[in-house]
Amino acid sequence: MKIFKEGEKSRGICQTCKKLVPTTFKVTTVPLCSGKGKVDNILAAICDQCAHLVSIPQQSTPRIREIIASRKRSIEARLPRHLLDILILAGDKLEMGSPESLKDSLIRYYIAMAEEDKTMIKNIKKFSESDFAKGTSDRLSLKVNEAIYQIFEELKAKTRLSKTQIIKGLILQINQDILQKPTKKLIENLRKIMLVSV
Amino acid sequence: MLHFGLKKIRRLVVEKLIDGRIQHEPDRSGNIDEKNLLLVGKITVEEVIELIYATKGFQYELSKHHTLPVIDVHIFKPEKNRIKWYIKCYLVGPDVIFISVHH
Repeated sequence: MKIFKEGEKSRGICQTCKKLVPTTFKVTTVPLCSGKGKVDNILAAICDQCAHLVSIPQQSTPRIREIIASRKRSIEARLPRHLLDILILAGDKLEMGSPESLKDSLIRYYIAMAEEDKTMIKNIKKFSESDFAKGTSDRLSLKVNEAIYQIFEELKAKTRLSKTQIIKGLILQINQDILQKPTKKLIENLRKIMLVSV
Repeated sequence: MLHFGLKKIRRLVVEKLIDGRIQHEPDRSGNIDEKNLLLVGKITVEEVIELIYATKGFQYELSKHHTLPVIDVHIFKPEKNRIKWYIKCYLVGPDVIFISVHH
């Protein structure tokens, strides 16, 4: 793989000069087109004539991917108070300090688990339509990274449920696993997972 | 300006991909184009090579660069696993410069 060096010369089409121009690789900061962040200290080819950014070499990709992956996305849902209580109770049952701080990690873990678990997907659909899931008095705002957000979007597409329905279904699955029919093995596993994720 | 057929272009682009002589255009505002899946690392160089090899004659187009029409732009539109891809690039010196890699 060709590795470009700082100060190395190249050529490219400058969109400001509107011609083929000589460029020099320089370390710079480049914003993301979504406006949601920027990538610092990447190598990019800069126009020798107008200093406009002309191109970005492939070797800058890992830094760009890292910034995009670490970007926080938000999943919002309106829930009845008793579903939020289930999350706090489930966190409390794991006996690992503040249940409030565990609740987001628990949902994130269940989103990741649901992706490949057909039984859980079936349960989410069933639970989200139950009487116990009804109500919208409270709001849950969940911050997730890009990877979890994408899994959540795939879950939405697979189940054809809304964001709120999926969150309700996941919380009721947590209720089933941790509060109603807990097994020693599952609780132990969840403790280990929460230990590294909180 | 010489015009090559798909076979020759495919070989030239793949050679540059294998050698890692790869650059990417920013969007028109000079920002990182997040829709370029090769630039943001959602697809690998090896996968792009496979897509270029999978491009059939009717899925290839020769066009002109929007900023500098004397530059030939190569558009590959292969289909893999029922996903239609759009890969747009041009060659400058020893390098291939990608404008788009998305589906």
